[in-house]
Amino acid sequence: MSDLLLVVFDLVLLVGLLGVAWRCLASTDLFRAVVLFITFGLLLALAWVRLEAPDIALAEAAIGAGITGALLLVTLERLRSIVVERRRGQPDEPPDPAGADALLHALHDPPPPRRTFVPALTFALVVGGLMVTALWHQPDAVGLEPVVDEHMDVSGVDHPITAVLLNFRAYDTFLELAIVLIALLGAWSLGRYDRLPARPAPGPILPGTLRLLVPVAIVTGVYILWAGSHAPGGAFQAGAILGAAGILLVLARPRDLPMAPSSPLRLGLAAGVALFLAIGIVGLLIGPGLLGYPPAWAYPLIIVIEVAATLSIALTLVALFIAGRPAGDDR
Amino acid sequence: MNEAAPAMLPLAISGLVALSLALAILATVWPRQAHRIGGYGAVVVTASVLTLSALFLAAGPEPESAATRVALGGWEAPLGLMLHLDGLSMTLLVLTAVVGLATSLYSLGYVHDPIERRQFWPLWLWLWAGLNMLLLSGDAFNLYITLEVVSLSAVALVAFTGTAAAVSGAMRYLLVNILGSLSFLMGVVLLFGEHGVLDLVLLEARTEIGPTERMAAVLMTAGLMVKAALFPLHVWLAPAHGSAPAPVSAVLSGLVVTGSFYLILRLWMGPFAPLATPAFGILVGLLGVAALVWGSAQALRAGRLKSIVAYSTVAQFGYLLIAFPLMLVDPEAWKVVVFFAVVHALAKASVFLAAGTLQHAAGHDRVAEMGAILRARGRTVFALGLAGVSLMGLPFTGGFIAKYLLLEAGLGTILAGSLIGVLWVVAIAGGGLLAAGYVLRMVAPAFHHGPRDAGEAVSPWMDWVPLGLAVVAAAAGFAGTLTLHTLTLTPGAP
Repeated sequence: MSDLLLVVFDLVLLVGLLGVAWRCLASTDLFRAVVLFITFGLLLALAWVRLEAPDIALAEAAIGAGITGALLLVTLERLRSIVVERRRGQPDEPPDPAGADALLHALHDPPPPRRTFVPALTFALVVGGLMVTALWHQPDAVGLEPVVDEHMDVSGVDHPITAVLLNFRAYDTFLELAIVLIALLGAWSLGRYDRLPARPAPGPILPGTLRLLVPVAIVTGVYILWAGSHAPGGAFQAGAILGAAGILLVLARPRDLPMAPSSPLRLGLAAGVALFLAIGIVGLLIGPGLLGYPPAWAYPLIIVIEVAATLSIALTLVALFIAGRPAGDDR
Repeated sequence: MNEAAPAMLPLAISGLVALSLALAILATVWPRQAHRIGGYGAVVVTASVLTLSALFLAAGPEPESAATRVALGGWEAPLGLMLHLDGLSMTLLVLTAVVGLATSLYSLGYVHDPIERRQFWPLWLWLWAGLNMLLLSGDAFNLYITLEVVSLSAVALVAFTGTAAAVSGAMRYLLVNILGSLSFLMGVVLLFGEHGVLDLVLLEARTEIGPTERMAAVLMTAGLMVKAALFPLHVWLAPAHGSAPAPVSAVLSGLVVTGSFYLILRLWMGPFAPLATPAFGILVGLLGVAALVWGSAQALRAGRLKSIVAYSTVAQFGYLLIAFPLMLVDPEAWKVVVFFAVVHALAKASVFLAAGTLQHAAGHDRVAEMGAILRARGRTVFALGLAGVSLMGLPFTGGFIAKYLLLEAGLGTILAGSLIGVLWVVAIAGGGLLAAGYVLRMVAPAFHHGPRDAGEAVSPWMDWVPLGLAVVAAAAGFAGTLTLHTLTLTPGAP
């Protein structure tokens, strides 16, 4: 019986995913599209759980739905405040939520012209059909699991995914950290920090919630980081959770953010890649090769790298939320 | 043969990757000194690439044993991922180093504002490191990530000036690029699902002709064609170039698109080789002819200096597409194609740097109003003309040798009894005429009578570097034998 229930659940999930994705793309209201995108991310995380990939599910929920959603929302809010500014010519007033409704349509995404609909649909159907055909012919490949299992005893950790990410294919993970950093460098190159278009929420609710939530988030983040060595979890997920806590703290006092001094900030942002590469170069010099560890040292080194990476990811995500480079950076 | 060279080679390869990454991280952490880190770093990276190439040539007497594979972290494929160096990647690494060095020196003069400098250099060093890693990667998924490093830093550099035009050009570049990346990634996923390995050499050994391979080939090639701005997927090229800083344009048209093309070539000479059929080759060749005609027509019509050069990239890359059917008849022709891409990258980078100097002096780049500046800045116009002559393919330049070899391959196709070979030969020869048209459009005003006006002062770097690079591009013909010899050291290639 439970098998049948699971099939029904999967089907509902699948239909829900497709439906939400379609609504998200078809929505002409950008705010609704963002909310639907977040919903889509959460459903997708569920789908990953059903596909028995809890690591990806965690990452999808924390980064795909959580952080990306926050980034999209703050971008939308910035756009709205720019539109309001233009209309009213009052650059210093933050947008008034009640009056903003009338201006909302300025942010509407006009529906695409009818004539592109048929070609786009045809293209999607052809490519989708070919993909399905290709997947249909795929064997149930075993992938790398047996090879990874053979080498688990020398990897330094007990969780195969962490072993692949931080030992066997550490180079890929290093470059992924670098990509997050490059994204921030790109955002910083475009301009200085602009005040967030949010007003501090009046009343005790936000500060009270924060007081409860931030310690919980920190404990959860540290737990997920530590759990990564033997269970699903790791630096990216932990970094996203800590980053979310940071974003909440930023939102608590959006008008008077304390700005971090430039040098320590940049050091913190690059700590993950810098430490990773430094350990990797030591590995090159003493034997196992670039980005390799002596087996006896693998566990402590991986933990050190993961801690630094978590810190850098969390800082980078908060900095991306704030968007511009801090004024101290130009001095 | 040097006995120590083969032993040193793996260390040198890892060292080059580590060095380029370390420079990028150092510049990120210490932006105030980023221009010094970048300036000296460029010299050091170039020196180590040249050392690496010397080691490579000394170590690889046998073409079949010439690929050096380095297991990162000591984990061999399929468990770990391997760096892969052969004649093809070595040639392009040297090209990247030469253009990278020239661009870095030029940028010392071009990006002079202390605040802008701090933003520019870290991004540029990441881009360079990304290119080096892309050329050294031998693993399908790792290639995707290095492509992302390259694309993301290139997008940020295109948006660098922060004007509305620059940001919208960069946004278009970003969206098109992400589409290309996802397409590439989907192909990688299909291949991994079928064969369970990601290493290109292992994949090549396991590939047979099946629906998965076909679909993966289409997805990966289409993704890379977007990134290489190959016709008809070049829509991002002109807007991205229009407002990008000159050194960024030089790197974008010289190296980034060439890197994506390198990957297409590598895939079709490796895992996808069994899939190439004559009909497919002719289709690609026809796209190339269309690119040549359309790109040249746009370049002849464009009103701005940088647009002319950007559209000429679309046109010149048409040759690379035309080369595909030639390679099916004469497999040896791939070396000519690479040589052509190298010469094109050198000449194109130099044209963009020269155009940047002229634009800086004039304050704009509207061709119709640049006569006075062109007449006063003989050195830069000479650089523009010299590199342009190489693009046209006049005798004694690198471009001439490349085009001559290409024509020879085309005539070989006709002799082999292929009627459509006539079209390829006509296109290759006619493309040179069209190139002459748009190059002359850029330099001709310098020979008219009229007022002279040197415009704004430019730094000595901006004055001399384009000329130096143009001389290298023109003289590249003399390095033809060495390049072709290096390319023969690519195992698995004909």
